[in-house]
This record gives sequence, structure tokens and C-alpha cells, in this order.
Amino acid sequence: MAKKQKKNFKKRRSDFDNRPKYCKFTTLGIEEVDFKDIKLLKEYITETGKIIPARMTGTSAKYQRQLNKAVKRARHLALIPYTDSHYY
Amino acid sequence: MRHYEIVFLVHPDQSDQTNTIISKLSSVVSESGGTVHRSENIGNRKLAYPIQDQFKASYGLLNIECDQATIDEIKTSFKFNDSIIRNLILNAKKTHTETSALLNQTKEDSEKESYEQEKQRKYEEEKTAKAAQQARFKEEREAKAEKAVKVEVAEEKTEEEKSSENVKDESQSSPEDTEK
Repeated sequence: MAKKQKKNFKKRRSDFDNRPKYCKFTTLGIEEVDFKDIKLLKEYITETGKIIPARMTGTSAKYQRQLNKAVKRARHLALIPYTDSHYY
Repeated sequence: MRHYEIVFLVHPDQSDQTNTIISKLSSVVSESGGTVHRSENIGNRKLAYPIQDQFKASYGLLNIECDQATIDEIKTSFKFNDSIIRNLILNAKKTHTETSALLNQTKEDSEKESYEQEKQRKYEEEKTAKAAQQARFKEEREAKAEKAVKVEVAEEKTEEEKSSENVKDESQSSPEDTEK
């Protein structure tokens, strides 16, 4: 009677998913997202350089739009990479 | 009159020109009746990706208030200046006079880098000092060992001499026995 043991695979959630969702910009009271603030912008891009969707981060729609623009401007000025595969 | 924000990257070989470019632009703006609210020479930064095969560039930032004609002039000047790799001109909603986040962060980064470099240098110095000490110890040990070997050799020699003398005695004695 070799019954296959059911393994309990817990759904692995990344650290990113586990952190509390809140809009940082509304809590900090930032007027407009600055494209020069790289430290702040790097929290909202993945390792590969993609912009993280608002449903993951909890950023409000108003600030997500601003963030989108700011990241793209920062990319243009080579402050933030477009991808992780830029040749060196 | 409108507010504008200008960022430009200067070729790393002509990074000394950043200050002159900033002063030139501010003079152009002030001549046309505008005002310069903020002008920063952010300095050399490592680029996130190479631009024109360059890995570093010098950043300059300007917040100005001027009319359309001067901003057009600035745009054309950027176009025909080879030392400017890239530029960004934006409409701003209000005046910005405080130091920008970019300048603060570059300063922090450079401080961190210099600190780490110093740390690395100290570590290497310690390493070399340790290696030198160990080499000295080794030499001393070897010298001691050589001395010991010499003493042993000397003792062996004396023993050999003794044994050879014995052999001579034997050799001297042996023919007498045969004769008998």
C-alpha cells in the first residue's frame, strides 16, 4: 500500500509581497516625485530594472503616475538602468 | 516667464567645463531678464549604463526662470556642444532653491567610497606588514636551522675522523695478523 504522501507545499511569498502595503508618498506628504531622488526610486524598481506595479507596492494611482514619469526621466539621465543586461 | 529645470551630462574628459557651462547658461539667462534659482555642479557620477562608450559623466543642474526665446537658445547650444553627452529640460511648477537630492546622494556615495578605499588600503598595509614580519621570522628560523646543521656536520666530521682513525688502526693491525 504505497500511498503517495501529500507534501504540504506552503505558498512561498517573497519578502516583497509580505511587507505592509501603504503609499509612501501620501504618508510622507511628498508633493511631487523627484526624478533626482535615486534612493527613493530604487525602491520601486525590480532587480531587472522594471517598474513595480502599484498593486504590489500599494502606491496610490496619483503617485504611481508621477513615479512612472520620474523613473523614465532618471533612466534617460543614466541614474537608473533600463535593464540588468547593459553591456560593460 | 516660466520655470525650467535643466540637467545635463558632460563628457568625463571635459568635466572641468561643467562650471564654465553653468556660468555661461546663467549669464545667458540673466542677460535676457530671467533669474537663476538654483545652480549645482554635482560632479562625476558612475553611469547606470554606458553612453557613447563612457562609464562616467559629470552632472550639472540648473533651475531657472526665463522666457521661451532663451530656452530655445539653450537647447540649440546643447545641440551643438560636443562635450554635452545628454540633457533634459523640463517645465517646473515652482521655484526650487534647496540642495537637490542628487547632490546629497552623490556626496554620500563619494564619502562611502573614499571610506571603503581607505579601509581597503589599511587592510592591505596590515597584510603587507604581516607578510614582512612572517618573512623575517622565517629567515630567522632558517638561519637557526642552518647553524644547527653546521654544528651537526661538525660533530659528524669529528666522528668520521675518529672512525677513520680506528679504521687506520685496524688496517695497520690487520696485516700483522696475516703475517703471523
